[in-house]
Amino acid sequence: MTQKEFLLNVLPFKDKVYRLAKRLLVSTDEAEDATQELFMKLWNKKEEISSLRSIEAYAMTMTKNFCLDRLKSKQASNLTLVHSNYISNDISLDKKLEIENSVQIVRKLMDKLPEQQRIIIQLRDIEEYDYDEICEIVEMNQTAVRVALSRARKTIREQLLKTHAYGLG
Amino acid sequence: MDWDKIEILLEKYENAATTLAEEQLLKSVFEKEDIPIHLQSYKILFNTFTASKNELFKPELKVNKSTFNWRYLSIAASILVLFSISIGYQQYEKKQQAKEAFAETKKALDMLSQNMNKGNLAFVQLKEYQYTTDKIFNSPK
Repeated sequence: MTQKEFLLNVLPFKDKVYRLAKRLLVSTDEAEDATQELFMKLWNKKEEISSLRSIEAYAMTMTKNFCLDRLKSKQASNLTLVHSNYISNDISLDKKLEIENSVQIVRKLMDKLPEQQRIIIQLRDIEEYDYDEICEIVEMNQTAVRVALSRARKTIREQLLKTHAYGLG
Repeated sequence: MDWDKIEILLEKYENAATTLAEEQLLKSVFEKEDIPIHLQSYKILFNTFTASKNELFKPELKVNKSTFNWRYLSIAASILVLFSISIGYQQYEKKQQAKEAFAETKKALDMLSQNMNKGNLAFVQLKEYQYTTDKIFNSPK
């Protein structure tokens, strides 16, 4: 596969990879770094992936695993303090933004979901993948995916109603 | 707009039982302005999803820079190693040759000095001879 062919295959979903990375890693810089690194990895595997049925699904699985590993090593290397900082910061941000910018609220709520649910709701509600593709990407069966998705959707709306009622009252 | 139908769809949506087409319908319905108050939170939700799809990866995607660097670097390194080995070998050869030449010269000089010494010995004998002849011919005066 030449570089041109590779880019032709890969560029259409670079934004999806980036958005999934951002959903998981939260920070824009980190998500950009991760995306860059992931495509480098894909390029190194270009011979392998040219025979795949869906390079996109493969790339999304790689993205998921890569970001989860990053999160894990972050926690392992004692960056939890930074993380909890971020959470408390987040709450005050929520208060500020809840009236002026509702889009941000939903994003913050999504970022508070467990990782697995975050990935699934991202893939379904934002990227609009069908269930077969999601199952392939997250390596779970369809029932489990649907359960996680339903839980994520309900949690977000409940939280949204709470913050919204609070904001209005 | 038939809101009863929409509410049934919303319930299906929360149970993760909607199809992609139904979800797209919901998204487009909630993009419009006139939403009943009790469904406002869904508007925020679906609008966020739609808006989130516009978040793009801005930097240029660099693919092969570092891999090519690595390849070139390894080639350069191996050439350097070969080069230094050959230079080192040449130097070693030169030194070895110099050593051999030195040993040869030393041997030659040794031989020379040995022969010289032989010559000296002859001189000593000659001197002895001279001494005795002097004694004989010069003493009775």
